[in-house]
This record gives sequence, C-alpha cells and structure tokens, in this order.
Amino acid sequence: MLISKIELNQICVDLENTRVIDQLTLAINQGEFVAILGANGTGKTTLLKVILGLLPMAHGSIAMNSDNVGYVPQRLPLQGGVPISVMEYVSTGLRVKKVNSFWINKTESKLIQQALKTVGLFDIKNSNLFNLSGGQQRRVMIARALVSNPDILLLDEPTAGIDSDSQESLKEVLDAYKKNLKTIILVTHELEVLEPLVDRVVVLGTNTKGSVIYDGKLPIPKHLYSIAHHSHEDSINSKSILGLDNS
Amino acid sequence: MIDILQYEFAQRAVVAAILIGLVAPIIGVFLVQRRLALLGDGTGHVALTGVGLALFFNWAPIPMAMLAAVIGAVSIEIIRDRSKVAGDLALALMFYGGIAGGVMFVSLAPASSSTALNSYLFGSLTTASNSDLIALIFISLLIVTALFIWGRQMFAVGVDTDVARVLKIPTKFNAILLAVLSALTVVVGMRVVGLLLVSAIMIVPVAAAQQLTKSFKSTMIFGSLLGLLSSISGLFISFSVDIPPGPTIVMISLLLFVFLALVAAPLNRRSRPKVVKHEHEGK
Repeated sequence: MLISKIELNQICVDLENTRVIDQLTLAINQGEFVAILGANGTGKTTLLKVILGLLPMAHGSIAMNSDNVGYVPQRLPLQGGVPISVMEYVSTGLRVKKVNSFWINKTESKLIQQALKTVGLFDIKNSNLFNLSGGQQRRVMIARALVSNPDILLLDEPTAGIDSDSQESLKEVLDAYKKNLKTIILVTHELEVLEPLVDRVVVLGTNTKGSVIYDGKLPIPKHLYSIAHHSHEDSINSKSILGLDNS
Repeated sequence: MIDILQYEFAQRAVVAAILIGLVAPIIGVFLVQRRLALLGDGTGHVALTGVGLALFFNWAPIPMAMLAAVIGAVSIEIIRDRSKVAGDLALALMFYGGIAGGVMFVSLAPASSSTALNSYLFGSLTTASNSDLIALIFISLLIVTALFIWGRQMFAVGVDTDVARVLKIPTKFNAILLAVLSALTVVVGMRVVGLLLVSAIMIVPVAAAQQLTKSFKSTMIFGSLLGLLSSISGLFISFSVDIPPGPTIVMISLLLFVFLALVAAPLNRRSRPKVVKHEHEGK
C-alpha cells in the first residue's frame, strides 16, 4: 500500500493579481483526516484546488507521494440538460487510458457497482443523476471519487446542503475509508457530524492571506471563535463547527 | 415514391441522409452537454466562406468547407477557453464573418455560382456527386472512430472538467477534438440539410430524445434514431412535394421534439420518484 504524504512548502497563490495564499507550509501524513476551516475568502477551496493541481502557484512547492487522488467538488457543475445515469457519472472517476472504449467493460462495471454499494446507492444505479436529492447527489459524487480507490481523498464542503441522514451516511463511508489508512483532506463549514473522525484541524485566518492560524487537534482555542463567527453568521452554529461544544 | 430510388441521385441522397441522421445527433449530444448548442451554427456559417472561396477559385467545395469549418471551430474553442464572454463574442463574429465572406466570394464568382450557393445554404441532394458521397462516408467513419477512441474522455470532460484534470485527462485536447468533430459533422450535413440548418439536425433530435431518456448513452442512441427518422422521412417528403430536404428534415425533427415534450415527457415524469430538494445550499 502506498504511504500518502502531502507536503506544502511556502506556497503562494495569486488570483486576479491578489495574493490569496501567502507562504503557507503544511505537512499531512498518511492516514490523517485533516479538516481545513476558516471564514469565507480565507482561501480554503483555493488551497484544495492548488493541491489538486487545478490552480497554479506563484511560489512554493507541493510534494505528494501518490498521484492517485480522489476529488469531491463542492457541487455538480452546470449541465446542459442531457440526462446522465448514476453509473455513467461514477464511471467518470475511473482512470482512463489514452485509448478507451466508449462503453464500460465488465471490470469497470464491477468497480462502479462496488463504489455505489459503499455509499448505499446501488439500487438507483440506473437513475438520472439530476432527479436525485441533494444528499443522494453528494453521495454519488463521493462514489465517483472512491471508484478508483484513491490514496488521498479531497472533499470540498461535502456536508453542505444535505439532510442529516445523508450526513450520517457520509460519515460512515469516510470512517470506513479512513480505516484503510487513507488520507482525507476536508474543506468545510460544517464539521458537526464528521467531527469524531477528524484527527487534526487547520484554520486559515481572515486578513492573513491564507496563512495557518491554528494547526492541531480539536477543540480549537476559544480566541479563534470569531473566525468562524464571520463565516457563518447566516445559518450555521459556529460553536459546533469549531468543536467548541466539546470544550 | 420508392420508384425514385432507381435514380442514382436518389440513392446517393438516401445514403447521405442516413449518414447525417445517424452521426449528427451523436456529436450533438456532446455539444448540448457542454452548452455549446450553437457551435454547429457558428462553424456552419464559417464553412459557407469556404464554399464561397471554392466557387470563386473553382475548387472542390467540400474540402474547402471542411478546412474553413475546422479553422472556425478550433478558433472559437480556443477563444472560449480564455473567457466565456469572449467565446460568445467569437461565436457571433464567426456568424457574421462567415456568411458575409460566403456571399461576397460567391458574388465575385461566375453567375451560376449563386444557384450553387443556395444548394449549400439549404441543402440539395440532387447535385451531390459520387466523389461527394465517398468524402461524406469517409468523414462519417472518421467521426465514429474518433468517438470510439476518445468518447469516454470527452464525456468525462463534459461532466466535470476539474475532476477530469485531476485524473490527468487532456481537457484542452478533448475540447478541440469536439470542435473539430462538430466541424466535420457540419460538412457531412452541408449537402443534406444545408449550412444554415445543419446545426438543427445535431441538436433538435437530442433535445427530443432527452425528454424521455435517463442516461447519456440512451440519449445518444435515441437521438441518433430520431435523427435518422427525421432525415429519411424528410428526404422522401422533399422528393414527393418538391421542396428542399433541409427545411423538411428540420421541421420533422422539431415536430418530434414538440410531440415528445408535450405528450411523452409528462407521462414519463409521472413515473419518476419524487425529488427531494436541497434543504440548504452551502457556500
């Protein structure tokens, strides 16, 4: 089994000529479940996308000892209205070769069905993805990320906008995944249900250009409470987000 | 009506109609998925300039149309990659420039070229030669082969470009490939439906099919069958009523869309499970 380790060394990221991440250094070990928290605009999603290679760095380096990475984006991208079955959607998470048959073969079909069983959605494998509930869609997105059995899983707000049953289901899936010594990096506003799984929390500061203001275990020190307060004034219980309920 | 098939021009027309009916919606489903339904229109207009140049210099129209359409489609894709707004603008410029260039070169060409231009604008199967047909068969095979090789990647890129990039799929290559394939489809459809309406046979059968389907592949297959039905029935109607095949084919596919949207889709929707909406949309 590959030992996944991610090292971010003094990375700087500019978006539209504005520095959004400045001199960020972070090391994540194999099997760790790391939650990245912070107010809106602190660069959480940007950081995730830089790790994934989707955004360029102005400076710094990232070392990962596995390129088998699974990614669960924040939401489904906009679609032109063409229906996509759950099986088809999950198939897009499979590693493709230079030349692939357009049709899914038996081995691939088994992998897809296994991933759907993992998230408890095998029964709706032939349904149109766009007719599912938000919670089901999120679980299908996770199945797609898991279908290639990645060593590192990166999730962007996986619990946002989904019901409590789906959140519990997500927790079970991630718990099982973590037990296989896989690395999980989570960007979230809503730690709540996933809190027991998290090994370490990294908080990005406001007005600090995406630099780390806390890196450690839960609960987070009370003086950082305001960070969360800025980010969720509208809808979310900040105390539970930062694990302060348990402190 | 079947008697007309004893004529060679009619036989060529049927083969060309079958090709465009089957192939155009296969490319169309990828275009609709990526919200590029008008790309075929843009490249169709640019292909007109290619036809105009061919008529002016007395060259073969199909290769020139293909060259112009491919250059146009790739240019649109490259500009679109930089900015969505610029892509929209690029498409508009292609529309205007393509038709203006086509009409201008045809005006400079010998007088008989104006009649020929109409046949490219609205389709005219009676003037298609054997070499035209061979070119169309070759281009169609090229399109289908490319889809068998890269179709999976093109689908993955259309579903989610970011995830495709994480999986090391060459997203830009796939975007350009789709643009080229749609340009080639425009050239295949040029003789049958005409450059002004060729995009319709790529898009309308897909729009009709997705009223009933639940997956991308079933939309592709059903759309292709609807395209075939439209092109063959439109062709035979045009033979018997003496109207251009292009508008007839497009009207039939539009009627199929209206029928499926108004009659079949509501029935289909009733059988679907109820959708649970998002309770809260997080940032």
